[in-house]
Amino acid sequence: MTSVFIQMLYGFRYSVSFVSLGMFLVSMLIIYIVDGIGGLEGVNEFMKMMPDGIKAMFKMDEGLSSVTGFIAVEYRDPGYFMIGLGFAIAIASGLVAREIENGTILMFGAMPIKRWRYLLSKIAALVLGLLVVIIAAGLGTYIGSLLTNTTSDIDFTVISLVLVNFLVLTLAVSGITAALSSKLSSGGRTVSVAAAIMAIMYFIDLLSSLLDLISNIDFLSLFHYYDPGAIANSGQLNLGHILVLLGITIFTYGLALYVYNKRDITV
Amino acid sequence: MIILHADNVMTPLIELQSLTKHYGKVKALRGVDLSVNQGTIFGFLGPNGAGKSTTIRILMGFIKPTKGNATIFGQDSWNKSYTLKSRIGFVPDTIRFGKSFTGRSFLEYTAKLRGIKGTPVYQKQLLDQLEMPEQVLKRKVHTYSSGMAKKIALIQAMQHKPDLMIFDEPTEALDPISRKTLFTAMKELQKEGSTILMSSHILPDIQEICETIALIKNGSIESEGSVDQLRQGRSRNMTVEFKTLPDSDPAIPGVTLLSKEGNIWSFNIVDNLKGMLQYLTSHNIVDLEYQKLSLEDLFLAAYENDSEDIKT
Repeated sequence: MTSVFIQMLYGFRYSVSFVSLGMFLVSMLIIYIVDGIGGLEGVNEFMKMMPDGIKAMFKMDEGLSSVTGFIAVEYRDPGYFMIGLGFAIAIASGLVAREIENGTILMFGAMPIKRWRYLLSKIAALVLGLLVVIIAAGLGTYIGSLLTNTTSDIDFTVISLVLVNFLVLTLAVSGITAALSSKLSSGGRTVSVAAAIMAIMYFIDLLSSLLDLISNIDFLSLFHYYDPGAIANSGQLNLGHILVLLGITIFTYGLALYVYNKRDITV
Repeated sequence: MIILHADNVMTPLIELQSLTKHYGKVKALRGVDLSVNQGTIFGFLGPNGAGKSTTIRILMGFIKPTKGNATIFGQDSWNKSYTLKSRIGFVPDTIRFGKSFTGRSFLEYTAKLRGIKGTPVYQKQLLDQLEMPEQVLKRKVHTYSSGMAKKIALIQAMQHKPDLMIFDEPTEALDPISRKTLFTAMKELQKEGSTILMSSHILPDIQEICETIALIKNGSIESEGSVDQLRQGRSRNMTVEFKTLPDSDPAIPGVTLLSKEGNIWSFNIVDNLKGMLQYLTSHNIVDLEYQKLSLEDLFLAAYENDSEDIKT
């Protein structure tokens, strides 16, 4: 178990490093944007100018009352999604499907280690990788605030809660991708299907606040359960959202283990 | 189907009974019956798509059979796959390692996955015999030639001296010296009680090292036995040059006169070489040529009607 876990971490060490750096830089950039537009006053002016579509994208409908709130909702920036969720999809797709596609599964699948334990070790490494990436994003915010002398304007407890919400979102995304990876035998197809599912969910969430026609199906989207603006306003995590995302994570990872345990490995 | 056992005294280590595998409408295996005795080197032959790799992957627990049983050491290859793999060394037909490994780290990793602490007993000897020096082991495996990759795969499969080795095309890409070395190592392990099942397209290799051979065709076993046993019942041709022509054509069971060109006569003989030789000793002959059936001849004879089989 430990050998597989360490080998998995070693295998994606460059990916984790680069993605973490990307998240770190995006977080710093947001702090510099806050600083550049003139702190809280500038943020409020900026908000007033924003069209409804952009507000919906960031879930800003409840308004902003602080720099922390602005930074929190910026964690719904598509840049974060592309880097963070992209990483989750890319690595999770490799858990089984890419190994089958590459043929490496024939070599390592011949070792005396139970299939579910082998996959579980890789999942554990992936979860750790996601945690590192999310921590890097938080560090970017913190170091950016130190460099711009805005530390006192930011409530880091709120930022931490937002990051917890973001982490469970990435876990749910990686779980769905892992389940697909266990079923499919092509890494490319797994990435495509997972990315398509996420894009559909993203637009359901985005458009549900703009179009009455689909306003009541927003619960079908994972992104519905990721609301940094609400966390900033209430100062609390929405436990219901966290439980839904964790439930999806546990179910989909369980499904991935079950499917991989039962399936034929045909390379 | 012809079933001939080289040695009935030995214990079957692998047993396949009515093994069937369907992929949708495709019938990859259609009731394979096979047994491999303990301590033998067993060759598994067949053209592409005949069912060799499917059978091997069922044995390795990669694939669940649709019907029938596959047992190793008396245990089901699917349900007890995890337990069995600790006693099996496996080399797949396609060798892929992943890009992060060096030769050395790959051997260490696979040994760890097998629960072996430190360097496996047989590793150093194999590395020396197969000429894999330390500077080669330090290189990333994805930079290896196919022959070197094959050697590393073979070493990982043999380094812990497993009870059973399953090799899918083990000699492909190996140079003749490495091939000889591999055969020596395989025979050493056999002497220590290991059993080896290997598939190969390289028929002289199978003929050289395997005591028992099974030919698989269209998902079922066509014939099984030693090369000598497989030769039985097969016709062979003999050309004889007579000094003085016989008075009459031979009337020997199993012998057919094919042609006469002057004093050179051609015969076809099925399982009665003795009768033919008795006939020849009573005549004055100058020369004779008798075709020895190689494994390749047997293989080609077994598969010559493949295209017709596919049509039907």
